[in-house]
Amino acid sequence: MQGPRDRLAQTALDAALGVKGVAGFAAPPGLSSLGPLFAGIDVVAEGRERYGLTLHLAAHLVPLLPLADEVRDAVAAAARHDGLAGELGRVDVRFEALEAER
Amino acid sequence: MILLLRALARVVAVLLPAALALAGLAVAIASVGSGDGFSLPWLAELIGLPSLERTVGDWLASLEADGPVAVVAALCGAGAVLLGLALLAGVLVPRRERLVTLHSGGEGEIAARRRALGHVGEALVKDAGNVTHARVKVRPKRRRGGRLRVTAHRTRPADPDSVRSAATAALEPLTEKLPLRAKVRTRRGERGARVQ
Repeated sequence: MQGPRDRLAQTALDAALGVKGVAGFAAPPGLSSLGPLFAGIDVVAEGRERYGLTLHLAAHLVPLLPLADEVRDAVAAAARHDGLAGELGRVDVRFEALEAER
Repeated sequence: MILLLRALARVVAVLLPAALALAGLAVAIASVGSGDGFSLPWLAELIGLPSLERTVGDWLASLEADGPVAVVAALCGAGAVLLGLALLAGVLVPRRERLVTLHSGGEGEIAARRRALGHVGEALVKDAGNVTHARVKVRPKRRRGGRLRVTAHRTRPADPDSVRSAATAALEPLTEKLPLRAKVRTRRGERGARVQ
């Protein structure tokens, strides 16, 4: 049984991977707050039943700011769809690696 | 430099408490005993404190008086203070941030790793004409954005100014869309280096 933290992370992971231009998740050095299952996503409590996300992404060589906005929109839409809109707080996007599209 | 001081501070932070703990343990164990056997005088004899006192006793006496030895001692004291300050700097001075903040707002922050931006910059500059290879170092600013320090190695017959202009233009996808500024310098490439 997943808690809201894990469900939010899973939702964000699926949503971000569906955005064109995202090559994948790239875990930064150190331990993820959620363990290896969600490597590349950190979830931090921002208050009661509200969680901030940090998405560590690998991206293709595309304009980064529009891509980050698109990822954020996709995560927000997916959270709404899964009934987690109230739990979603800030979404930080960090581009850990940039790579040419294959 | 700070990285070196940080490493030194970490080593000292491990070794010094370990040495103090061992010394304290030895003194504590020796304190249990008494008499001629296992005791504090025995421990002092074991590590040669009496002979050390005979060796450095005269030097310590001259240290108390004015003279060249006192000057050496003062210099050593000043050196110890400087070493202490350097170790403190190694612990307290923050590391250079590895992320460049590209945008920050209430909805969240967008940032990119310096190395990733550097690789993109290098790929862009390599596509400029007459560049054999390029190195890009990214230095983040404190709040937002950063600077790209670009070194473009040019082919030997190429004009430096035109290569600099071409490299600056090639970086526009980064410098126009993102809060990054580029400073480009060119170097003459090695003999035989070719555009890849």
